Amino acid sequence: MNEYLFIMGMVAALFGGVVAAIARNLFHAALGLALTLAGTAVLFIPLGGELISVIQILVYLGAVAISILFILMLSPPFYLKRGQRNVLKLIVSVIITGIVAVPLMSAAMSVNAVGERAYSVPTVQQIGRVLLTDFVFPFEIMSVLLTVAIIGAIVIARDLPEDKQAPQAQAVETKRPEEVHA
Amino acid sequence: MMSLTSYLVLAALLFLLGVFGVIERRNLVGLMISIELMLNSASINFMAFNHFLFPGTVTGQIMTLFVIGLAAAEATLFLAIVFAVYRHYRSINVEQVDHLRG
Repeated sequence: MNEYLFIMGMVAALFGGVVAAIARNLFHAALGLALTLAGTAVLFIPLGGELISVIQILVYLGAVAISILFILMLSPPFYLKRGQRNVLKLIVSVIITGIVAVPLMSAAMSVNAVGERAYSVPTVQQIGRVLLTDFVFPFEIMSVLLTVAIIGAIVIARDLPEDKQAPQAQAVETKRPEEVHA
Repeated sequence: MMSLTSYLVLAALLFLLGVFGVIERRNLVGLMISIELMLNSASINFMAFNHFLFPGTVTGQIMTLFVIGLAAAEATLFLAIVFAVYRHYRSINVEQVDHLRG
């Protein structure tokens, strides 16, 4: 059972990740990200993280991925204009990714493989107790951070009167539509 | 099949896809999608280490909770910043948004 969950989650996460990284259409990329998040939630179940899996679906998939889709749908459909790929930039990206890949993969491979553990699920009670004793300070910081983020988002997105003036005209002039690029 | 190594390799692959996307994309929303991929691979690592090396504890799971909370805060602010940048520049291509370039 756990094997199947692992394979399902792995295939979904990798396929979604590839779509999210290379799709030209940004809407497809956002849907790929949603698939990756769902696959990751499946992957958490064999690791004894049922609660985290549900929270991943609720918060990550239900709020973060949806808010990305909101950004795309509230903005003009620039994601439909597909420019040419810049070959030089593509090559540079592949090279840099390769440079990062070598140490990362060798580190991942070299970890001493521990055999499969007994399936132990920490209870919600246990998580809650640790969260409110050992981790109570980060927990409170997190709540302050979320409040600040919400207030900050409102302040930043507010319609400022001075924004309605000069820079737009100039920006529109210099905009080259063929460069609008996913 | 289901060992610590397989989880780590999977997370490393997702992280590399995120790195590739961050370098290659020119759109702010595309960048954010790639950053979310990288955050997600980090939380896979936390869960895998917690399960295979420290069974019976929940520290890794709590770290994953914090990662999810941070991603939510980040997404909120990102939405606002994208709107503000678009209103000002009429574009969210990172190569055209360069007024802070020294």
